[in-house]
Amino acid sequence: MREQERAEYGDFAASQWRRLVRSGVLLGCSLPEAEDLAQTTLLRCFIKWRHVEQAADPNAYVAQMLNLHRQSRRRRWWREQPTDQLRESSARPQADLEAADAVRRALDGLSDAQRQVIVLRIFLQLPEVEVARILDIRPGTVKSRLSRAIAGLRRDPNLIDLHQGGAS
Amino acid sequence: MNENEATHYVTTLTAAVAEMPLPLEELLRVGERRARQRRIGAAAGSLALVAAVAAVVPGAMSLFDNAGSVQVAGQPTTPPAPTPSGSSSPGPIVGVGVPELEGVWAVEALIGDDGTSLLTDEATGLDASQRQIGFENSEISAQVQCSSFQGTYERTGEDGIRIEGGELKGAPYSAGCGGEPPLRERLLAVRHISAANGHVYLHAENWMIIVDLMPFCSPEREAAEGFPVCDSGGPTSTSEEGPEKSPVTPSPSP
Repeated sequence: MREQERAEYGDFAASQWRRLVRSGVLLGCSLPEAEDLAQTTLLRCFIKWRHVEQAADPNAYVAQMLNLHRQSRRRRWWREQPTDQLRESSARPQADLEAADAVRRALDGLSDAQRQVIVLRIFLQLPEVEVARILDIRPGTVKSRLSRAIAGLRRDPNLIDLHQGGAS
Repeated sequence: MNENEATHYVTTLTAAVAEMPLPLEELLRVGERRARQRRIGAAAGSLALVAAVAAVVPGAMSLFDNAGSVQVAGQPTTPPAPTPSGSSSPGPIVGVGVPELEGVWAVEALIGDDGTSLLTDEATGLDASQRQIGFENSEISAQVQCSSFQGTYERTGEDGIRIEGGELKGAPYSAGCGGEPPLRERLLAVRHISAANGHVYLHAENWMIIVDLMPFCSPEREAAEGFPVCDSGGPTSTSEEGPEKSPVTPSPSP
C-alpha cells in the first residue's frame, strides 16, 4: 500500500472505529469483543482497500463486512492485552449506566435478525435498500422486521421500568 | 414507540460505551503482513502450477533461468543490505542463490499443501520469537505459535535439504493455542531450498514454497516489525538488554 493510501486508510479507519465498536455492542458483543470485531473488520478493509475505495457507499460496505465477520467468527483478538487502567465508563453517572444496561437487556430480548435491523437502520442510519442488500432480504422485510423489533422494545419490562423510574 | 424513540434508546446504550483508542499502527503493521502473506500464498500456488506443468511437459522448466528460485510478488527487487553481525542471525543473503542456513530465522509464512497460509492472525500478531526456526550444526529447532519441532537436517546437493525429527510436547506458548499449524508435517515435506531478495524459502518436492524465512536480525525485518528486533549495535538499535536470546537455539546432541 502506498503512503498516500495508508494515510487515506488511516483517516477512514479513524472515522469508522467508534461506529464499528458501538455497532458491535448493539449487536450483543461485550466491549472487548466489539473492539475485536471492529479491528478485524478494519483489517479486512486494509486488505481489500481497493474495494472499499470503489464502493458506492463505503459505510454500507464496512457495515456489511462487520456483519459477515460477526457471523463467521467468535474468537479472541490477537492483541488483547491486560490493563490495570479502568475504562472511562466506570466514571459515568450511575443513572446513565443503569439506563444503558436496561437498553442492553432489552436488546437481548430481540432476535438476532431484529438486532441487525436496529443497528443497520437506526444506529448506522443506512437506507432501507442498503439494509436489505446487506442482509439479503427484501426492503419490505426490513420494514416489517424493524416494526417487530420496535414493538418488542415497547413491551420489554426493562424499558418499561426505565420509563417508570424516570417518571417517578 | 416510534423510530425516534428507538434511536433514543440506541443512543442511551452507545453513549455509555467507552472504547479504547483506535490501534492504527497495529492495524497497519498487521495489515501489511497479512497482505504480504497473501501474495506469498498466491506465488506458491503459481509455482505449484508451474511445477505441475513441468511434470507433464518435459523441458518446460528449462524455460526459466532459475527455476528453483522464487520471485515473490511485491518483494523489493534490489538486493538487501547485509545482516548485522553480533547475534545468531544467519549470514547475508545477496540476490538469488542457495544460502547458508546456520543461524536463527523468523518465520514469515508457513504454507499448507493447498497453497494457503497456515499462520493464524494470532501467530502473525505475535513477536517473531514465537515463530522462528534455528539451524545449528545439522540440528533444527522450530517454534511456530503453539507447535515446537526439534530434529536434524541434511543438505543434499546444491539446493537439496532433508529434515527429520518430531514435534515437541508441552510447547511453551500454550496460552490461547488452538488450531495450530501442522509444523512437523510441513517441515518433513521440505526437499529444496532457495533464496531471493533477503528471504530464504524451503520448498516441497514440487518446488511449492512451504516456509518463508527472513534473518531474525535484519533491517528488513525490523522495518516489517516496526520496532528493533535485535541489538545489532547499529544506529537503529534502542535495546539496552543485549542481543535477543533465541528460545529455539538448538541444544547439543545427546
